[in-house]
Amino acid sequence: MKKYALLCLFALATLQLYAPPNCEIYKTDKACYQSCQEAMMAIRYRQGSFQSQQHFDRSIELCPDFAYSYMEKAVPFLKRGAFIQWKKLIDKAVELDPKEYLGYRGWCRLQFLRDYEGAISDIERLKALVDYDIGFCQTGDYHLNIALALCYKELGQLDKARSLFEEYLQAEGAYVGLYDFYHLGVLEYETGNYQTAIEHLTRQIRENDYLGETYYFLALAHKALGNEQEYLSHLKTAKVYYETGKFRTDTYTETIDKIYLTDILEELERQARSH
Amino acid sequence: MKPLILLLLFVLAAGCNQGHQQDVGDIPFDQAMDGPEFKLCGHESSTKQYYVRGSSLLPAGYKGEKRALEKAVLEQYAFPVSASENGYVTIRFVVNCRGESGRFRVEQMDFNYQPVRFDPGLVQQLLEITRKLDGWIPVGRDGRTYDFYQYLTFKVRNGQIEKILP
Repeated sequence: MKKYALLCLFALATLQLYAPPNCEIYKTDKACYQSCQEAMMAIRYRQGSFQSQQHFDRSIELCPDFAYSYMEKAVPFLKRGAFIQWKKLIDKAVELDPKEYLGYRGWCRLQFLRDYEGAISDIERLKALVDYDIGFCQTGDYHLNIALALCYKELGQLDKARSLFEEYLQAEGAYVGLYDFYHLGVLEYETGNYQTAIEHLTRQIRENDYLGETYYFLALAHKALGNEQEYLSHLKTAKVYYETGKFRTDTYTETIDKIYLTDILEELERQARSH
Repeated sequence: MKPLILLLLFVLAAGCNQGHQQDVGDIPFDQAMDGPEFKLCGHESSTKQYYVRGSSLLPAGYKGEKRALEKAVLEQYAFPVSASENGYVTIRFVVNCRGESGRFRVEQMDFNYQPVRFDPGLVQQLLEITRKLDGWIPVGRDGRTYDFYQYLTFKVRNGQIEKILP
């Protein structure tokens, strides 16, 4: 619970919002200092509002190298489906400060556009560029190494994905995310390694027993192994969890390996028909 | 006195003008593109975003969740219009407080995020399918529902719909 609360706090703190820069560090450069102040004005207004965007424009005009303003100005375009404009602005931010924004752009490409190749390219570039931990994605849901594994998984490169998952999760001191073992379990299920899938999904329940989705795949893995009782029991649990609000949600986009109530109900119907 | 009145009129005019300033992604009514039958319930400026969150505010949704939306789209999408089409077609629109949709706008780009023109038949088909979607659940609070902006992005590979976002 404590871990969940900490992760929630982390996620809230980072939810599609970068920490504002410390303008004091630009004091020796008058134009960039003013640019930073304009950016601070911009974030006082509602995101994407005319006033907010206008302040970002002034900020960029004053200091064309101020990466933060390009990135923040881009965000409402991303959230509202104007991806061409988003990409132009975020590319500029990355060009100016790749260490700061490569991981962020990569994650957005994965989350909003399922652009797996683009996300891989950005995260790999970041890894090659820095000698420190590349950190978590913007929502706080995954370490960027797990995001990388998810990209390969979605591209169907399951062996590569598995090795990335294992490399991260088996490293000393690795921080296990809220959904890491869920995705690894699904990966093993998709590969046909049902017993391993059950092990990972059971571990997921130990880490975070809050997802109906986990029980759905646990049920399917047992079904594949012919464990009829466990199949039905986990499927029913999945339904109860879903109906009581215990399932994965995201404010902006559908999450990877998402399961809906319809999927569970259809599986229950299949189970009933087979008897 | 006269200059004071002029100043007051100027301030008022500036204030009125503020009301026409567009936020990112706003879709104002365009007589050339939009039929008269679609009406907003509230004021233009109070249209929410599909992802809006807040105390007691229920987010927008679709009856039967995303699976129902996917089914409605994929059952109607006839392939192949053209097997060489690749990229993203995004359709942005407004849903009113009654769940009716209108003011559709299309953006097309390739996998490098560059503007591109898809086969018009494919775009028209996606537009018609999106227009017909009738399961929208508006943003709500305390039993009231609100107009909201929504978009659908179709990731298209070799003319097939690979993924419907968001």
